[in-house]
Amino acid sequence: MHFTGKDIVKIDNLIEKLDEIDLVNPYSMTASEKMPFLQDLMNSLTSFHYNNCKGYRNFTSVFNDSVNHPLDIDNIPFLPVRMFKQHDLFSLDKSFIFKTLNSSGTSGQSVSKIHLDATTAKRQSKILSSITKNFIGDARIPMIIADSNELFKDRAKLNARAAGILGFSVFGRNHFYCLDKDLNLLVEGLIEFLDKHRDGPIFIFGFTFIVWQSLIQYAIKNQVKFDFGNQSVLIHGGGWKKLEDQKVSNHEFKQALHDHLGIKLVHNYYGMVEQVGSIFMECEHGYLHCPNYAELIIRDPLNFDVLPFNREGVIQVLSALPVSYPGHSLLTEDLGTVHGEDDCGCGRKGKYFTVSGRMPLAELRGCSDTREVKI
Amino acid sequence: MSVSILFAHEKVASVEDAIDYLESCSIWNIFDKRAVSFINKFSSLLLKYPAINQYPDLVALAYWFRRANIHKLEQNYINDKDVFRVGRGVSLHIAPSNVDTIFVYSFFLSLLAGNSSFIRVSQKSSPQLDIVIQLFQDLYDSGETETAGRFVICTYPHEDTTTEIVSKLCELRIIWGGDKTVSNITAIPLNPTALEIKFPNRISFSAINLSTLTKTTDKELIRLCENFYADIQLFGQQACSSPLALYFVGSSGPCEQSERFWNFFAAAAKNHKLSASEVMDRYVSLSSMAISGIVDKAEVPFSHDKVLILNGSLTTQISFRDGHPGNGSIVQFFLPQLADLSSHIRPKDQTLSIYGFSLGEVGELLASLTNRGLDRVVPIGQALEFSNIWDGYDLIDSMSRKIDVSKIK
Repeated sequence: MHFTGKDIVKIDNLIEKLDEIDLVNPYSMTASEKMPFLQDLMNSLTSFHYNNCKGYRNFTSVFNDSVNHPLDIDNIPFLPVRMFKQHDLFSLDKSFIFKTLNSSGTSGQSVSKIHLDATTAKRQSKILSSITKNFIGDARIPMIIADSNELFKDRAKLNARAAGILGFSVFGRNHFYCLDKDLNLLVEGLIEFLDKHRDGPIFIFGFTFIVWQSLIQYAIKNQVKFDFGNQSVLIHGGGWKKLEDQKVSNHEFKQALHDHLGIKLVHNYYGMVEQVGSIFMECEHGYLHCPNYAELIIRDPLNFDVLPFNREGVIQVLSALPVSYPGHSLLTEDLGTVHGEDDCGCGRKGKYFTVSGRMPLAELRGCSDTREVKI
Repeated sequence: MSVSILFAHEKVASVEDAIDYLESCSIWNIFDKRAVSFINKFSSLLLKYPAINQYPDLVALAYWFRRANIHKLEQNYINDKDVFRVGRGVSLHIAPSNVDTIFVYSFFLSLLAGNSSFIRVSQKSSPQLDIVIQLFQDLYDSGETETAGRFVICTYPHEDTTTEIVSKLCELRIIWGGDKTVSNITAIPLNPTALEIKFPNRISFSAINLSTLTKTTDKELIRLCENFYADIQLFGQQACSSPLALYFVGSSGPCEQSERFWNFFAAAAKNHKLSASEVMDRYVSLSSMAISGIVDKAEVPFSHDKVLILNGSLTTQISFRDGHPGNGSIVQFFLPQLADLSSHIRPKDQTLSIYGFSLGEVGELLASLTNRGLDRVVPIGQALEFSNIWDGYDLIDSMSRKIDVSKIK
């Protein structure tokens, strides 16, 4: 075994370390500052989960014995993100569960279950706030949500979409949900809201596909132009899969927002329910950015070796936030490319990257029935 | 109905035509000369097919149905004077989606048993299926219309009513598929006189006698490892007969001989290749098995050009059978003696491929089994070789009908 009992890190110490993070500027650390800090945190989290989550401890046993503690950041075990769909992984006593997040699951079959304790949930909000404010400023501004408030009818069952909206709505005021329950645009309400608030900045939040389908497509089909004002900012996320199917690029998406809604500031984010909070936001130059408390590693899909900058590969995401569940180092099934570090034209430090899509599914496989072949 | 007919007699243009035509085909005696001749011709055409060597499963198919083998098979059934053997009538075949050619085995045996056949193949096309259908068409065009007219190959969505219609009138229904597919189709009412043969999900593994291995020369071991790798590699280790685990018998833990085996095996598996998606799938399944405590330690958990060797735990309630990744992963176990294997056999277990055990030792193991597990014991290297005895059925015997004439002198 490569982690011993001596490594047990008190969760209190861990939280203290996390709280030392610079919340004012989430993009302040250069590689040389960030690496020792992140490596220490990642090793602490790995030890913590190893000692407190049996499933995670079992998982790390597949890695070679020569992997020794403390680990280089590249050698921190990376848990496949799908594991949260197949296993209940929690590193605290069950009585600490404060809320459980569920992913919507693209296949519709299995959903991720992410158990949060109150402290982890609070930290996620804090970090999300620090990142978001870096893009929309500190003031709470009028907010349009490209969704329906019907989503919240049943508060007991919040899906990832509803949780995302709740997470971001704290950054706005005078919230206006601009879609009805069938996701049709509430045109009159929208125009009224815009007339009232367009002189100042408006914060718009929505899921990428819904923004495309319900806002942009409405404007295109009905040949109308909306005026969201000069200072409006759209933040959107949730994945490009449906838009890729329709062959819509990020560039076209932004162009359409500019032409039909007059929205000039658009930020996509890359994030997942398994790592809420430390999202990767797109800057003014079109690159997604790693904040101080998160990191991204691109791996060769054939052997998971670390790839240099400018090579496309599988995305591994690391986040300092997951304490209640072992989600601090996850291997996604998304493909992406890191373009550089600390030198993006926008001035933010840290790695910057783009996401190019999902890995194709292996043939012969279904999620539920993995051994279908007959002979 | 959204049925596309891939191969049929020229008079058949619809499912209705197909049913009418198949019902009008008379029942044949078993091993009717016309059926034997058709299969012989198919086998030799397939062996001569350009680039056939790209498809080891087709080579195996052609080889299995070679003239000499069919002749040998026939001898098992024609010398019984107490029964007269004939076909049952129309047989319905539901082919599996992932092993493209397996349905040809059960369909040809049904043809040899004297039946006509309605075959539903997967909606997914494959080069192997295209080749098989092309050859049927060539045989038909060359004048083999009588035998080639005895079967229809088509494809349609599982929810289509065609299976229901054919099930009502067929005399034999053969289902290959995952457990879910088998259950779904079994639920469709069947002609009361019909017989049903089901091939659901099964699990297979291997066992090696370590004390025999000490006497195995390097040359023999090279051959053994090549055979073992061939069993793993075919169908991406995802066929029911693909070995998923290896029991080393004669030691309670890794030893000199097991290490020697893996060293030679690494050389046999040196051309192993997976796609990026397969690497990911294997890693995901491996991680899941590790979390459940089924396996630990993988020397190189990721690389696309390596077969993964995992240490299995015999103590856990969950077994390697659940969520095994295939794609080149072997769970190794150690057992002091072969008799110890008995308590690890589960009802869904199918093929045990072995090295270094005598028939007597195998017999002792089989005599000690306590559930329906194990339907085949074969040498390593023959795990995926088809047999007319499959999943506990003698297929010619089951697919034909025996008319009792024992009291007639």
